[in-house]
Amino acid sequence: MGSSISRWPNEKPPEKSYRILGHWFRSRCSLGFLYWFAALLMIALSAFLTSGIGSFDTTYDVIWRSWAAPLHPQWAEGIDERVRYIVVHVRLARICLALAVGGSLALAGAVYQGVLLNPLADPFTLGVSTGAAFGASLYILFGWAGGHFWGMSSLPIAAFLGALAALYLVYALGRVDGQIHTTTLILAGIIVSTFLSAWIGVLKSLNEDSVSTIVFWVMGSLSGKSWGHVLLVLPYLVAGGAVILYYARELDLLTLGDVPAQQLGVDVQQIRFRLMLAASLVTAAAVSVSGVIGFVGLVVPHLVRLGLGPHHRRLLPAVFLAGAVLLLMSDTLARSSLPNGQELPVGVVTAILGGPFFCYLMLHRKKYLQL
Amino acid sequence: MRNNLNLLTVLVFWGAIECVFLVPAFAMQVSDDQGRIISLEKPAQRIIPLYGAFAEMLFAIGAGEQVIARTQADAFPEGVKMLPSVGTHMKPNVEMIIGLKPDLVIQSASRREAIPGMDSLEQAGIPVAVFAPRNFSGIFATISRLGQLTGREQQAESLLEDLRKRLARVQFHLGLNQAESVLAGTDKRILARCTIKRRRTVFFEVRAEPLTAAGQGSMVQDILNLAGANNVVKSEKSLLIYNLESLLLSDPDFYLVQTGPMNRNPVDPRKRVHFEKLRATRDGNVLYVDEFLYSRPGPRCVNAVEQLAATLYPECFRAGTQ
Amino acid sequence: MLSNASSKKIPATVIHVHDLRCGYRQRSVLRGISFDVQQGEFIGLLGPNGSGKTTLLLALSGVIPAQSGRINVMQQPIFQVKPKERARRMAVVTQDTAVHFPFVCEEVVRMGRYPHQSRWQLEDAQDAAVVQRAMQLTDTETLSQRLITAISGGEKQRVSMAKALAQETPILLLDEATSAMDIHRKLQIFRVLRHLNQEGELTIIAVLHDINLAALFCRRLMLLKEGLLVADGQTGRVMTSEILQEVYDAEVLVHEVAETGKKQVVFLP
Repeated sequence: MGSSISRWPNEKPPEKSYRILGHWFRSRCSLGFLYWFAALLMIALSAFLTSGIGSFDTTYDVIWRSWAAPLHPQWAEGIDERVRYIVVHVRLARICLALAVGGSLALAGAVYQGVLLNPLADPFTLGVSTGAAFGASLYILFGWAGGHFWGMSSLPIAAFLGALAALYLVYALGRVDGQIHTTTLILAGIIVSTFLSAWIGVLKSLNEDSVSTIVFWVMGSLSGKSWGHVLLVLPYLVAGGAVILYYARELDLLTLGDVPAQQLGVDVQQIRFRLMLAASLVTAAAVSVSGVIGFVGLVVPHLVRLGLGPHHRRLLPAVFLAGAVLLLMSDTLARSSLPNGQELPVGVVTAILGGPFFCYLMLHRKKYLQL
Repeated sequence: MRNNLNLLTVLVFWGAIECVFLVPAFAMQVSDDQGRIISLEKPAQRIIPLYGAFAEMLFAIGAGEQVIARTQADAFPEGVKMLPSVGTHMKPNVEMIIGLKPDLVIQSASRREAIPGMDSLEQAGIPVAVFAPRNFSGIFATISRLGQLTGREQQAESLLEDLRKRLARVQFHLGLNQAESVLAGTDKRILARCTIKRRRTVFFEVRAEPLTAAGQGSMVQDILNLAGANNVVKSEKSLLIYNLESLLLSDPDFYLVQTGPMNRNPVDPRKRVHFEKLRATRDGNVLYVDEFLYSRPGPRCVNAVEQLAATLYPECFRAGTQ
Repeated sequence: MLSNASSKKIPATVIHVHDLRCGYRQRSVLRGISFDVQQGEFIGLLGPNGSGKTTLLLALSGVIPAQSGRINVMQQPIFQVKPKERARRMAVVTQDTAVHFPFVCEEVVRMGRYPHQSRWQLEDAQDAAVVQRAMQLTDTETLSQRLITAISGGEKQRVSMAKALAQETPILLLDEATSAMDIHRKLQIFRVLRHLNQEGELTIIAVLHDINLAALFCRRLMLLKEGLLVADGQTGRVMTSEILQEVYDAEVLVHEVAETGKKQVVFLP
């Protein structure tokens, strides 16, 4: 029955010929393809450029030939095996991990901001980071470090379990009458975070010598990571990202608020839960390998929204790319700005880069932030 | 006006008299590593060392009975475990310390953090000596000053002589002739039995997560140096978070992993990703060493030198040499 | 599809409410309400604050569940209708139109097309035409590229109205939807609504505070007081001083204005 009943006066039926593929293709696809092509090109280019920066100098020729070696073994001839190993298995893996983690955090941040309707929401609003830090701290304190798999320490697993436990607590606390309300959820996030922070404090006092490990873990680092870590994050990123993109349009509607979104036909409770769960899992996976890297998930969505508007189908891919590139840049600085092979925690670099930008937002775009 | 001036003159004189008459009342005066003068009327009988290395030194110079408390983590030598604990090195419990009525508290300032509670101890009239040994000469100087403060100069001197001799013996075995300041007073004209051709390169892992190295400014550096090893980490810092790429590039002969509170149950480097590319892991040259011997600047650092030199250069320490 | 001739048929019941009790937690705001709405009606829902008007609209649009009783929308219990289908049957314009993100107004109106779009289908020409039409009707075309966060309350309400019209539903629920507009805009919007109601058989239920505005446009009035339906009937019959006095607890005079032929209310100071 639906729509035809309320046909408005004097309305011409839409021109059917206009609806054929041509129009649709022209207006959406070609632009979309260009957009994606440009974005992927940018990512590849920044990955290539940053892989020439590091504690030892190589030429871009060597990097290019090392990358291409799996396709064409002769190209790698004459390159020192150690250099090739560093370029492909250390540096490139780290670059890919930075891209994946940065993209994950920014994407999750955009979702949280959209769903919670809170400009200050970031991937850690629901206590995922404190949960992960708690899991990691327990692990470090009790030193179950004998455990490892794929040559990796099992610390990411402990952190991931901690993040999941925190999430479960937050959702359990945030439910009122079987429904999830955004304010109670944020409150639950704060409560769980504070509670777990206190316990992290206890764990730190129990073993002063582990404090540095915990502190540095919390500041985030991508040092010494491998393709195994990339494989650890990737399934969550792909699955979570797919769910998030799948519901991109619903995210637009959710920003209108619960009641209006419901009245526009969105199953608010269900879709919000799925979106938040997807974003949370993506965050948990990222945090568990990289530690807590702040500001990417908070600042990047705002930055991109300023440029592209809040339309999520356009926003989300761009947020992913921008987050990926920002973390890549930050990590490049973290691993190359100090001499003698020293490293900065990457979370410090993102905070240093992100802080001034947020100040700018606060000072000049109060209206945008709805302050 | 004039009266005031007279008063001032009297005060100045009184002060001068005070100095002349009161200062000699102190039996000993020792300047600590923060440049402050610690004055004691008689050798300290109730000492609380707030860092394990100082407890070790005190026991080593026979002043173990003058030590009345320890910090949580101290377990060496055996005798120290019997003593009551007064909190940790970083967070000593001031109330407990004052309650034990010590006549000397020894704290380490090797950590950059401000040490809490030290001011309140001094206000309570308890002298606090701060030592910050960071190499062998620092250790030796600390031991000698502890000897003065405890009235055991003799034992301290004989301990120092013994330690210097042991270090010299290692130098002799390796055919090295260096670190003269440390070995001052020993016979320098010893003949090398075995001259090492190439100093082995070493990476010292302080912590596995995040990968933290001992730099040139550390106690470890002095140990490596006297054991004939070269640290591949060139930074002047004592501790630094190290880049994996740099480690792979420098590819040391030996990979040293310290185990202890700072590095609890580290994953075996041979099982870590990327580490399998290191020569050290491939050739089985991964050494686990005790954190308390290497990172804690105490008398046992000499054991560390002996142990490390013997492991790095077994050819120089075959049975029968010496 | 209904032909033009169908307007002469007996109108179908589009909303059926029977003994509805509904509220928040244990408290019932609506305490047993029954009524039917036929297709093409233009109903004004009046009553003092807290009488349950907004609750009734929320229940009708399926946002809050009934504690007991029945709501059928187009012969189907509301809770059985899937959210998207529900949004194809009725659109709601609420008083609160706060949008937290800087969408341009046209994007907000386009959101009204959501219930008509399948997941993988992007906006097509029909959607574009409907959006354009909705913006014409609400006179929001000039706002189309302005940010929703940067326009006035009255303008936001017009955009919100356009969004609801873009839903192309047979039923339109309004909750104080013109409260922030000036009188000129109010009349303009209500004329458009009357037009859609008469020509397009759009069924409208409007919660209003302005009794006179209701009297001008609504053909049926429902008066709520303390969660009960106190009066329900043709505007002319319900607009009596006795009923209004009882509902609002205020002295009123009801006059018929000769020029319009509509009754208007005057409150006594």
